[in-house]
Amino acid sequence: MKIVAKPVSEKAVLQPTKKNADPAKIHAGIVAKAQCCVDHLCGCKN
Amino acid sequence: MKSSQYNVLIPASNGRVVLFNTLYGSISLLEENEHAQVVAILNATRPGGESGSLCEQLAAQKHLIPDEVNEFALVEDRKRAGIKDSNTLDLIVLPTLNCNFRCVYCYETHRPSSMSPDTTEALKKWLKVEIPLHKVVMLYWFGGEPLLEYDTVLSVSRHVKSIAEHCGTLPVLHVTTNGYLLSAARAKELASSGIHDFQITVDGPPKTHDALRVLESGRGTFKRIFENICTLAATDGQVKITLRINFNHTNLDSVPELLEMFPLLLRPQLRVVFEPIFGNGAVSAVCNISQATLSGKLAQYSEKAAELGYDVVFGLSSVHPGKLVYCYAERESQYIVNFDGNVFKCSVCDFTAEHRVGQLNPEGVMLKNDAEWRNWVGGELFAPKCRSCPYLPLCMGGCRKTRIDSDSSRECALVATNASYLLKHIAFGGLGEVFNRL
Repeated sequence: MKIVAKPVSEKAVLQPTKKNADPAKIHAGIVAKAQCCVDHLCGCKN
Repeated sequence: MKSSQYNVLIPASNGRVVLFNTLYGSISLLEENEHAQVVAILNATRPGGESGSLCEQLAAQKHLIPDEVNEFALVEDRKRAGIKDSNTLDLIVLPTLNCNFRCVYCYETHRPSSMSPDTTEALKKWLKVEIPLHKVVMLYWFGGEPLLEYDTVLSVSRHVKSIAEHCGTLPVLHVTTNGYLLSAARAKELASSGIHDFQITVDGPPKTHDALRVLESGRGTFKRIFENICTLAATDGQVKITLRINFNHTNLDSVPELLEMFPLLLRPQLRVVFEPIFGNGAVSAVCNISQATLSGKLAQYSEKAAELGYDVVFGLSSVHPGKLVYCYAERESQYIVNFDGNVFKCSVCDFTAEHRVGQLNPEGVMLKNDAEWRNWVGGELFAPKCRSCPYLPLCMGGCRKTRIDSDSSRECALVATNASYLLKHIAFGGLGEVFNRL
């Protein structure tokens, strides 16, 4: 079995919401995850 | 040990299989001779009882997890954290609902409108109090065509930049525009006001774009938009433009021609995004193109765009682990402010007062309609059908508006994506630099 990507921890997933989160990293995460409807994959404009 | 409920097996070439975990983002490539063995382990009543390197690897990858872990509870925790997260203020402002375009597929109702000086002042007052409460302020100009109200865009953007810099909040300013009114002088002025992020739609080369995106008069718009995009990108190296290509059966085949048109030097500043056109049967991409064709073409065009030097994310958001909410509308610190001061959560609506969730009063105080507000940020985190879905951590429950507007027991609204294709490429090392972004 070839390991391609290791699992992420819950701590890392929730870090952007923590009080000590770094603003630049928060923004980078938002861009990477396209966490907005602009890149939506649903049929919500139907 | 038990099998994770979020394992997904994706068949690849030569009998190999990609094992992807949608909750943890772990990806494992199984050889043909390992596939049956892994499936047997994952399906066993007590997997992992026998020691062995394969079981240990599956546990290390969290394809096998301890019995006591409640994975659905983890997904719920993520969503609660995403809804409550106050680190980012997510603000969309519509300075007008009017537009100088009459795109054939547009779902918006355009009407003459503009933000009054009083509403602009109320918005500024609210921002002065609100921005210091957050680590990041994201101001997105949308419409209508926001640059029809250029002075408002410039004035409020400068205000946000100034407050954010004063209180140590990171400002991220963005304009979604059709690009027609983005002259060289305005490009410079907007960049200096802190706006370095733009989204402009180009639906192919002139012959296809000019059939879809036209002025009120019916005239085509390609030439001027193309020139404005090139000018904007050349104005400031920090400027990043999302080149959105809305596609259906009329323009999908013309995408490669468009990609060849932009100057090589500017391409790294252009992030290509493909978006299917929704709407009625005549214009809808999914009504006129098969899923297989759609997925294959998008993958092909994404690769071509990357080869040509564009910034391409390969739709990686669809396989990115750690999403907290489905979309911004579910977040408590997210607002859409209309030109008249009415506040909404979702941009797909008619922006009439009856659908508002609140309003800005003249003193710059946001008055929320509690019942409407709770529809978006309260209630059940997920529809019942989501509880058993292996893709839930990737979508986080689907569109809230769909749940509000209709019976939540209806079929899932998510459409198939090319996630399988991407995963295969990631697994075989073909997209090494993309993988590094995970």
